[in-house]
Amino acid sequence: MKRMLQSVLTVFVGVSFLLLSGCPKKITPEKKSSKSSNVVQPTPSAELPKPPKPSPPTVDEDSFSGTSTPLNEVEIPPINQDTKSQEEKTSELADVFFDFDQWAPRPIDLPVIEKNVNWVIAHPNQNVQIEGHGDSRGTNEYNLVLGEKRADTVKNSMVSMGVDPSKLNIISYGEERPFCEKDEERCYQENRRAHFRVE
Amino acid sequence: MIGYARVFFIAVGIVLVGSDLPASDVFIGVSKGQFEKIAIGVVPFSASPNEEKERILAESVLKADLLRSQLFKTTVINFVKGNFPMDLTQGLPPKMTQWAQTIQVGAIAWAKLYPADGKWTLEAYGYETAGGNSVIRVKITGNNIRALAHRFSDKLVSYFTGEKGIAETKIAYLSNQTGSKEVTLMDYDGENSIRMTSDQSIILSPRWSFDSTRIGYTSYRHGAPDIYFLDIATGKRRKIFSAKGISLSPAWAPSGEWVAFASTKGGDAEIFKMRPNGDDLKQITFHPAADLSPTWSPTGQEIAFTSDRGGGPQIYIMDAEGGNVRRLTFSGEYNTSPSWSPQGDWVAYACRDQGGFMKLCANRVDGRESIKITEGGNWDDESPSWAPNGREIVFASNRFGVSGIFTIRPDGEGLIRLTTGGGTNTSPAWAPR
Repeated sequence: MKRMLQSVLTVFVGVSFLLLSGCPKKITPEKKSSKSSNVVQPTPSAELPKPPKPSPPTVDEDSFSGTSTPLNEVEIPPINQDTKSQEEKTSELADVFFDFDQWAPRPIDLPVIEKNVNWVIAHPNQNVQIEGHGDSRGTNEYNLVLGEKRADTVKNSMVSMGVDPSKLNIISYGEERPFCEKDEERCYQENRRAHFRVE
Repeated sequence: MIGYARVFFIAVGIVLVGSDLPASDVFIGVSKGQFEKIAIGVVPFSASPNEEKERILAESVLKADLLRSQLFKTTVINFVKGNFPMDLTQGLPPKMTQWAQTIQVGAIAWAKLYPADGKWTLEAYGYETAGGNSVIRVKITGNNIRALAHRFSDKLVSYFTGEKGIAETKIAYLSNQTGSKEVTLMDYDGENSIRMTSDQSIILSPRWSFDSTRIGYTSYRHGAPDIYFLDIATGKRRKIFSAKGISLSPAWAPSGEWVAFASTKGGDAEIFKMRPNGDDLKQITFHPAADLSPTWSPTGQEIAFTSDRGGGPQIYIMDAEGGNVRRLTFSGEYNTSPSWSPQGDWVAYACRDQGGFMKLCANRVDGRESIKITEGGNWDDESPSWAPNGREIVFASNRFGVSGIFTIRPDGEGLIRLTTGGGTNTSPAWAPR
């Protein structure tokens, strides 16, 4: 009986471990999915969930050194999960545009930045990447640096409006990832932008 | 210099190839003083009738190389009564010597081409017509006939002018033929292009190592713009520098001991240097503006770079340790992409013109002269990089539509288109040797 209990406990520990670090090699994928669904129930983590029915010992007891293994805690995701895709979230963040050769955002775009700030503050679990872009005029190397300056300036103004700087990452694509490929002013303006991507 | 009327008058049998303008008095970037082109006669090569196509190829590549060297006036010796193939392995026939001297042809080149063991051999001979001495006797063997002719040309250039030829040099550039910019190599005449990377990401600013064995470039293949070195012989690549922000434009010191590059790891773009293995990182510019695109002087004592510390981007020069910063360009609002000439006296760069288009400019390092290499036209000329002999500059231009690779002489003459089609071709870099 003691051995039985030990086996049950071990299975539980094993399953919890699985959630933290992926599937231990000796558990087959089928079992992983069925047991995961058992454990992912929103149960207070301090309580033991109802132990799953002991199945044939697929878990090697030796590898978990018996009852002395401390219990693992697994954070259970909230029920009201945010079901929006990263793309959908990204589309809620509007781009900021720049004048030729400039890296400070146009004053007209300040409300856009403010709106993005509100979004980031309202989504404390989301990190946002700010991409700096430039038009095709000028040289690739300087435009790459210019793109970073643009992203950095936008980041700084968002931080000054209250965003935690660790939520914002920047990357520059210079003139390498244009949104519009024609050689005309409309396109140039469209390409001189800071684009936001939810990470 | 010989007047051409005289050449034609005396030597009915001599055909000049190419439009051979008199040597320009302006040899920008070349410290050579007074200079007169040498007239060289290329005697039709010899090969078996089965190899006529290859023979013509070898001969025409040699003639193109000699003309492009700007050191020779190439002529084809073409006896009207002709008794080909001629055989000059044992020296020049006295009649030819005499005749060549009469029309002031100083050198004769001839070769025979034959296959051997699945390769080609070019048995190449060069003669000084004064005295008829053979000065080049060499068997060149390889798979690629063009390469054999390039070698022959460089040997003639080296012997008759004392200058190192560029016919065997390579040009690296970025081609997006596969959909993303990849590092690609080609011969200096645009032939034999070969793609070296397949990152399928973004690649920027390829630069050659001092010894032309490696190419450094920036790639986003792991998400962020990091610096990689690619070994040409093995195709192996190594990530050399990775940091927060942008890592860009690795420039080898001429000695090979240091690599200067730009990094935004501290927030703004600064110039750093490191050992070619990535060790001994040292920051050499300290300015809150953007400092980027370093290029070494041939002595390794100084570095030219782009900085927008004065507002728009301009070219500056500093000591290799970062001291004594001085501004080189004062004309125009946007000057970038400096390339220091191999002879040391000029820095070429991309300059934005009144119409907002990029063109090529060059300034003397001592600041006494500033010239426009290309002018006019609603297109962009970008990314100048000097040929190792200082007589040409390779650059990217969209003058014929999508961006292609071109060369031009520093005096703005002699435009050559190296790439046609195959997507956009940008960011050329001429191998230093």
